[in-house]
Amino acid sequence: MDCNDIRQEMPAYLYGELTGRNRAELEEHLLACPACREQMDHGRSAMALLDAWPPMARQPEDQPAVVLAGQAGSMRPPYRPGRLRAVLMGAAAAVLVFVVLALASAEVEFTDGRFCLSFGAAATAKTSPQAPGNRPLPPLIHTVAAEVVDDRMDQLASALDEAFIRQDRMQEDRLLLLARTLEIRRSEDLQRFSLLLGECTRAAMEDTFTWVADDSSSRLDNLPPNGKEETR
Amino acid sequence: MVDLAFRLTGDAEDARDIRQTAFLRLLGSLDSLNGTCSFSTWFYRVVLNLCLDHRRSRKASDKRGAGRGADRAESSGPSPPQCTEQEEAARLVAGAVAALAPPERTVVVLKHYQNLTFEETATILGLPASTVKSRMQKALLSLREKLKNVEI
Repeated sequence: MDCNDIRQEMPAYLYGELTGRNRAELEEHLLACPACREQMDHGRSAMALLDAWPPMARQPEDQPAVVLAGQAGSMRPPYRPGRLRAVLMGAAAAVLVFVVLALASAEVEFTDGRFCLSFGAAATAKTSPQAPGNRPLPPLIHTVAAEVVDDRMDQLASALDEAFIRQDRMQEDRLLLLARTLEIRRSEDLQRFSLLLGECTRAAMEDTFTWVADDSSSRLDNLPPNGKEETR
Repeated sequence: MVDLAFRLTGDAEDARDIRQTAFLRLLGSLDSLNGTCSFSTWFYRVVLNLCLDHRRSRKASDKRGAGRGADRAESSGPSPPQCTEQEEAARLVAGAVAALAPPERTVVVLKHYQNLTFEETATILGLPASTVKSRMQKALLSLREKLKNVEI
């Protein structure tokens, strides 16, 4: 290695990314070459100087990645927050419905503004919502979903942001899953939503469900007896 | 991510705007995530492109005389008489990074402040790792020269 090669590899050495034979050769060269040694010292002191510039100070408004509707007027975002809110509500409602469906081995349809469940043979026969075997999902589900989203929206937004900051791979997968759920603009897309969820790992789905609605299970347990029986 | 945008634009407000735009772009571009690159790489590129657009538009507005000054990073801190030594050093370093040529500044921010490896930085920028290392070496020497009187 000549001086040019050494200087090319200096940043990798300074950041601990030079290993093995290359590292040994560079260190050997430094012992014999004052000019390269001086350059290395300059590089090292520049790295220390860079550390003097601290990260951007976090402010309260930095916490949610996306500022949501219903917050203080001064923090109101320039884009349409209502849309995101609606999308998030749709996503959470869809997650809840999907989990219920997973338990009941049923299919769901959205007709006349209501979720309808089809069970067993009725599901495969694609009967109408009014036919026997179909029952509107208990209205409480809607209520719970809306409440859960209201409670969770800020946490969801913060978690999205943190996933990027930490560059955590698992969290990124989880983020992707959530982002995919956000694709569901309307509840008519529930069937597509369940297909998308099917692509994801079961663990990710469970994590997401826990994340979105971890305090809803107790409320689900309080469903009217008819609704609870039908969904199991 | 907001820190990445802050260090590249030198302005906290602009960095927050870029973050917001990047998230909206994320939600609108899920179909383009086709597995040809990792999600991190894709998202870094989105943010870098937004910072590039921002720099271009700022240049244009500065040319029209409506700009807020050429070097925001340097001017964004407290004025020198009110600074502690530490704050003053941070202000000078921020100014020196902002004064680097854009390709070198991008490498410094990704490598040093985002703590990526040279390989990761090269992947994000679509460059050979050797080019990234050369730019880093040049940037470090240039920073050392500009900041040689700074005590930390």
